[in-house]
Amino acid sequence: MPSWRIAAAVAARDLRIEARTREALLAMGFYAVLVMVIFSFAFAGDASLTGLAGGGLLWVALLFAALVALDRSFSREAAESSWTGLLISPAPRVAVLAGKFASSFVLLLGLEALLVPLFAVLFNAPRSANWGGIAVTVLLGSWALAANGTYFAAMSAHARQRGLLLPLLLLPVSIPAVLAMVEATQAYLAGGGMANYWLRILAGYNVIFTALGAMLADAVLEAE
Amino acid sequence: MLSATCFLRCSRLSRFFGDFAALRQVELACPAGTLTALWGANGAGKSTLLRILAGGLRPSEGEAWIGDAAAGTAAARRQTGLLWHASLLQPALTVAENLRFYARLYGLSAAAAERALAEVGGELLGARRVGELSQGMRQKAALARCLVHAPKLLLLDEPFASLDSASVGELQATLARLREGGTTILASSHQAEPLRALADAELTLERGRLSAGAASHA
Repeated sequence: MPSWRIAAAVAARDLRIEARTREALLAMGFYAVLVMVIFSFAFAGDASLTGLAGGGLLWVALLFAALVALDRSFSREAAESSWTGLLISPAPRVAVLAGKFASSFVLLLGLEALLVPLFAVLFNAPRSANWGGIAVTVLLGSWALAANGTYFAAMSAHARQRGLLLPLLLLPVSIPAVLAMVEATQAYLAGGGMANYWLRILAGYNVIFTALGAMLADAVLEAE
Repeated sequence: MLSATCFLRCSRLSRFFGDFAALRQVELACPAGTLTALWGANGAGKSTLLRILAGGLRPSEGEAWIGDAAAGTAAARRQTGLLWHASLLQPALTVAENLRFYARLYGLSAAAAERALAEVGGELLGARRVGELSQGMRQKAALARCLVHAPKLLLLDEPFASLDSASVGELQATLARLREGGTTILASSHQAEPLRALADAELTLERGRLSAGAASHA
């Protein structure tokens, strides 16, 4: 069976479980909305502050929501040891990881479809902002978080302190991507500037780290 | 010297967890179409041996062969089914959804899932969520998962645990039928009676070593 079909099967299974339980979506949505609302009290609708710090604020909410989604994605594999079931199957490891990545990516995009409009309303974001550019940044940024996050969540899947280990592994490696996401979003909110430069960095980061994750999939999942 | 005609073969198989030796120099050979009972106290290494053979754990030393394939390779995994102490199924999905998912992992159609469920007499379980099943029903669903890809080697870890007497009889009948069909079975159990009635050979693991009578197949 082609690897893409196995990846699609893993992603479809994860999304079906999520549709049934809504565990990750509710947890990440609650967290992200809470962050947004609390910061909106501090900003008090001052559009000049949004122009200065809005990009960072949006990505704080998305980054921690992504951590919640990734943790849920792998902790549900601990129930009934279903992760072992995946590992003892002949399915290529890279296909299993690609499926886990795809389901996390779709979940993040679903959250962002809610969060970005909420951000625009709560923070009085300028209508003149390049919203198309922000959408592309959100797409590439979510790819970076889901790709790296899946890789490190799989690596820490068997660790007792998985919830602590994942951010410790993921965040340092994600610093260049987070910097590019924040700077690109900030620039698009202000109407352009260096946005394309940061977007190219983010795209390059995604290519490099997605390829590395695919190449090291066997090593990560055979680590026991 | 291991017989080349045996379907399952282990040679000097060892597994260490740090300084602790869970398995030491295990030599094992099981001919095709036989059922071998594996006895041993808790911590004797039974589960470790089964996990290595299923491809879920790498041996520290030695090698194991499933047919012509080295244990742990995709070719060996394709021929091996593992009944574990956990069902390896997703509780939020129905039994049928879980089995269809496993069928796809092995490159098979949904018909393989239906056939496996019928093979264990679990047709009525298909629409029920795994999380809602009793332990005995879950065990039946887990056995169906093992059989989705019609494995030539079946590894069973405590298959009779948590089963009532009727379910024990059903499982015995299923195992006997599979063995007659040529499936090689290696089963560990604390409950001697249900397994002893079926076993062609018995082995004992003691602190990671197979006991003196262990080479009865070799």
